[in-house]
Amino acid sequence: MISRLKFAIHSGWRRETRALQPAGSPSVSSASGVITLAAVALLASAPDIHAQTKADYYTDNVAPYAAPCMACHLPNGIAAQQKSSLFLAGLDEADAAANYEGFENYLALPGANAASLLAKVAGGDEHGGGLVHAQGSAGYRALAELASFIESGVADGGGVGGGAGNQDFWRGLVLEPRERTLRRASLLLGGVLPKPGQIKAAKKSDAKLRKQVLQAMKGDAFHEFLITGADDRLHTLGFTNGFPSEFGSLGVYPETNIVADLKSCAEATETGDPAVYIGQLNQCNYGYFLLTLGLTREPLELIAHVVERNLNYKQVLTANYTVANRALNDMYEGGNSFPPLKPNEAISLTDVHEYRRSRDRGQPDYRDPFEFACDDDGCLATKVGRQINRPHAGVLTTPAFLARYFSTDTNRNRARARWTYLHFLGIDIENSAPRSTDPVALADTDNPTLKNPACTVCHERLDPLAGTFQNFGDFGDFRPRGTHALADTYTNPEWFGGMPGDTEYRPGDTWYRDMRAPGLEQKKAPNNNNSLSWLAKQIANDPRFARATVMFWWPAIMGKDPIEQPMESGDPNYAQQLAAFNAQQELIDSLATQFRKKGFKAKQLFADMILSDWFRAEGFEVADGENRDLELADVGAGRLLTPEELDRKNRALFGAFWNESNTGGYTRFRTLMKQSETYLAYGGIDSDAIRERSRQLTPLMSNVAELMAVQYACLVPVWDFNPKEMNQLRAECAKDKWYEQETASCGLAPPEVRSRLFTRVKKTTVPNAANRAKIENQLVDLYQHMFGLTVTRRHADIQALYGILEDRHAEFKKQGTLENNCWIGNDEFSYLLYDEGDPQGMVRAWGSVVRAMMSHFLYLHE
Amino acid sequence: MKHDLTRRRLLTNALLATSGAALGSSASSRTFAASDDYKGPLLVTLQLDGGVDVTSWCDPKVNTPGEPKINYWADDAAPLKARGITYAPYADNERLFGKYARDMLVVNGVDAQTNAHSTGILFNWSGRNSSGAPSLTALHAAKHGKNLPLAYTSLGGFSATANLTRFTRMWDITSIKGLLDPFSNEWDGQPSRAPRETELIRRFVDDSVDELAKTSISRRQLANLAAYREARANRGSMTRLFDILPPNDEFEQPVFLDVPGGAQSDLKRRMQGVLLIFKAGLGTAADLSLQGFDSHNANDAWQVPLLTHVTDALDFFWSYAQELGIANRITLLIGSDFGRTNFYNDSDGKDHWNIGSYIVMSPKAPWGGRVVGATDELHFARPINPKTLKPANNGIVMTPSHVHLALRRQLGLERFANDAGFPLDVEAVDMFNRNKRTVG
Repeated sequence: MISRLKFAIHSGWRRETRALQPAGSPSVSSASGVITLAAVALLASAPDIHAQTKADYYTDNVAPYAAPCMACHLPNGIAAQQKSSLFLAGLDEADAAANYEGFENYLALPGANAASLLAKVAGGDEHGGGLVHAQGSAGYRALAELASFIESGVADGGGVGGGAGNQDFWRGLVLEPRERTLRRASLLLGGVLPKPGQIKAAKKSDAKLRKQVLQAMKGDAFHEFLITGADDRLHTLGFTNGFPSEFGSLGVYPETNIVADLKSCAEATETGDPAVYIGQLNQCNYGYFLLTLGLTREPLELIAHVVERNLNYKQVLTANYTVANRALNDMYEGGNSFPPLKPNEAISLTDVHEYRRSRDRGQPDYRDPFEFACDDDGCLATKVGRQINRPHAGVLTTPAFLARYFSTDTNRNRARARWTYLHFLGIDIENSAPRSTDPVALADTDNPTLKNPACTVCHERLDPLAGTFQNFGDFGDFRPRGTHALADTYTNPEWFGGMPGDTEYRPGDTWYRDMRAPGLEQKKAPNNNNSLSWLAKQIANDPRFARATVMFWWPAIMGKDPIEQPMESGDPNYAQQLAAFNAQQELIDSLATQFRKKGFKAKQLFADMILSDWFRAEGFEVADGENRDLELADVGAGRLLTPEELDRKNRALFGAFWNESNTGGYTRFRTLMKQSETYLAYGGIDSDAIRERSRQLTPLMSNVAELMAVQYACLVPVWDFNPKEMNQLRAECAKDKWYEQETASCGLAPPEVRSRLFTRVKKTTVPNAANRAKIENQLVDLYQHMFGLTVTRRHADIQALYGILEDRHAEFKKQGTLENNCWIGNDEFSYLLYDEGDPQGMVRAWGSVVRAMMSHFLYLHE
Repeated sequence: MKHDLTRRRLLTNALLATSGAALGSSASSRTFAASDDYKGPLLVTLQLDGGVDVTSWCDPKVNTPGEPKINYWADDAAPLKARGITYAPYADNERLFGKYARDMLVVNGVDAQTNAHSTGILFNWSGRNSSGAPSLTALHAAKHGKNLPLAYTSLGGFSATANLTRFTRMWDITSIKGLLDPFSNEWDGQPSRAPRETELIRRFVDDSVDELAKTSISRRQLANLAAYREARANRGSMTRLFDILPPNDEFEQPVFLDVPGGAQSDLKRRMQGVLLIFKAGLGTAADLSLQGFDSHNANDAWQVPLLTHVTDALDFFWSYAQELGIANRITLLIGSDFGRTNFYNDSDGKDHWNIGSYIVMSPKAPWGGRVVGATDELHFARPINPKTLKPANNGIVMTPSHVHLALRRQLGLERFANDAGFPLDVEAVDMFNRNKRTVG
């Protein structure tokens, strides 16, 4: 990509140079595109047309990589305060020419040159901002090229210590066939296998593959993909796994008082209301359960709402609405999209899982008179006056986001700012500063975050953004002090042993006077009442937002976190790590550009990611002796499926999850893989204490996979060989109420209707010479179905699997039975597993084959 | 206040629902008959997440006239001493240091050079403040734990392997009972499938993936295939853990911590899990963590119950390790992201402070009962002579790198780490020399 752009830009420079070249000046080589210093000097003083060219060059080649510099090098930035001589103008496209000239001016200073600039870029030469781009990275090379171009007029591709380029990272690339990409994408995104017609279409071209990939993005499985992918970054589901559920909104909104009213539960118990008996839902405290679930999932459901409806992804931040389930909608008094929840109402699964558009108008304005009632536990508002029409800013104003990254009197929203920077601007503030912090600076009690350079290096950026959260309290409640959310220790120091005059607070303030004003870097928020909404728009229009979005979804699509920039050149395999990092960064830039051009449509982004070489690489032809193991370790097919992905694959292939419960819970699909012990053991996260997924199999995970194969595989042929009985079983199981446990007739959910797998054999087809071809062809089909690979009957695996069938059948003939502790979940149908249900033992033998394949590497990885 | 009237939190944190006096620290009386496999040294880290206030723990500071108050406890109390170690009369420290001072080396005045949590954690547990290096526990597991199924277990905290080994993340060992032997019924121990079927399948899979490894699959597949094969090869011995796991009611129960808002800790249960893994001979190293030390508000209201719990948990850890007969093989490293400021902020909290401490423990360690490193009265690190360990103006201020280098030497990991490409290029500090100390 860089090479192509460079050529275009060189051509542009030649064109302009010719037009301006005075008589007698050194000529410009049209063959090489080389521009002389004299020509550049001339250009520097030339009028508008040159500024336009500089702007183009800067915008096309430098802007994304110079963006991090803006945090400090704007005219009023921290760098200026520390006597830096590099001044940039801003992030807007209109600033491009001025930014170019900022670099020009810097390099024209005595003692400054490309080498000194690049040393600072790489974190050396006492650069206050630490490492910006590692040597050899795409950013480093872009700035090296800029410096070289300014200095000598030669854009040399970053040769000034720039290290190896990325252009040959993809050497030897072998892409997987399109149909395989479609299979992987369909399983990942839609939890389905592509149909033959879709495969046929996708084979024709990348464009048609892309269309099919886009079509896979629908349904419950896609929704769960979105929820899981978003939670892997935001971790708000931690509230359901032990992270304290201290939502600021609870206790503030009168509606929350009603749903948590346990007295009504006591009455319900006496009257025998069925809701009382649903132990899974904390007895009759149904409303409370629904409300906290709604709060917990709100930011994730909002993201899913935006993506599924193909809305502009900027709405993840800028939406002036939210989404809510029924209880949360009640709390928000969000309108008529749901009927109000009644105390003691029977539980409906729709209420649990359905989220609709809503707005928060439910918080009382406690500045008005209100009535309250008290008991031993305290007092509650019972009647209130006006209510606040709280401004929304997408996920940023959701109680779950605010409470997950709660604040304190001294943190003052900085945690929220840190994660906002990371998730939506792609900047890790904690890793953006020089490593050493002077202890004297930390002992500095004279407002060091505002004044002390050791602190301001981060706080210059962090604190204005923290200020935009000014209207939200520590746990996310809106203006808990009526007109503001400032800490009591700040507004009323006399309550804490201080003097009233110890504070700079003045009535009407909404933010701390001893901190930087709310804003984003150098821009100030114009209105304190809606500063977070303002911030959301600024971020959404920031060029870094698109990159951050790619990085946000990278783990969900690629199955691994983005590669960290390697920082120690002495580390083993540093060169390989750097090459991988650079190639990935270039791809992220390219995907971000496409994302912007396509109107911030997340589905389009996902499709671009799926169609990228990074996703589709099946292998690399590597020269003898060349070691690229680490460099390519995260690239392409072969990821270990997460518990959620494996679950979806099981269902897609066979119609049910592993030990999927037919009843007994509010979770849409209760599966053994999602139960905490198996889920965490298989590398899942709880979004609380465990927030990082295991990406390679460990012995414990291997045991989980084996257990799954043991318990699940035996059912597959039973389900498949008995379609009529399965219909009967489905009818039987449909009678169970979802909340029944003890009285349910089905312990396991029957599989969804699927096309038959065992089409070439019957359950009485036994291994012998006459049947061998038939059985081998059936094995080939099964191999394709489970592994997505086409092999011949003579393939060693097919022969080995045939051997298993033979052995099991021989054992059956010898013993008259086959041991099999399989459980179908309904006693009435257990005969299908034995005796007349399996007269030749072949159903069980096929179960052994499926078990063998289910525990295979190729099943657990995609 | 109107605010107080309406802000009553209706919903009590689930953690609060469990009442509870902390359980006694005496370990179960179950006897353990399992034969150990791995019999070498064992390493555990206890990571006190958030930044422990070491001036109220192992580097006690009293108030200095003319300076902001550093500790309320120092208004009417003075530091105490046990053997060669001075500690703060705070929380349940007297019990901890009174009983275990001889088994511990305190390292004070360690400069994490940061006030950012992520960097502090990275530096303190890998010995390097840039990512990519293995944790100390990973080095230990990579050297000693080859072919062990739980060579390196993470039950919380920072764990990084730099591709030298893999770690198993788990939280509650009781929850994996049913996963230790996937081929047997949990209820009666009988095979859940015919052993012959299991063996046929094992052979099929092993042969098939052996062939797969010879094909031109991607590097990613190759790397994951290696992990897959290793996991299968090493998992068999995990059944040994099943043999020694006590009944669930003999596992330590979570305890209530009286921190603001209330909290619950299962640290002792996780410690029990680590020690049982070690006892079963399945592992060599483990990480543990306890959260909550980031006391920006109400410093003492957080640190007192948490440090009290740390004492309780450590007492349990060593008692249980003794009972299992493995205590003498264990080195336990306790540390944190960094320390806390030498003054209280407006909300009686303390913010981040880059000077912290480590405590290294091992029963009857010859290097125990000593303090290495020092800080001044305001908790600034004092330079020391790395050879004599005495304060020296022209000496060095220790960082986590110095402590890790010393630990690598002490644990016999230095050459291994260097060969793996992760040397620590700092001066060696002779901190495990029993004849040297900075203070006392």
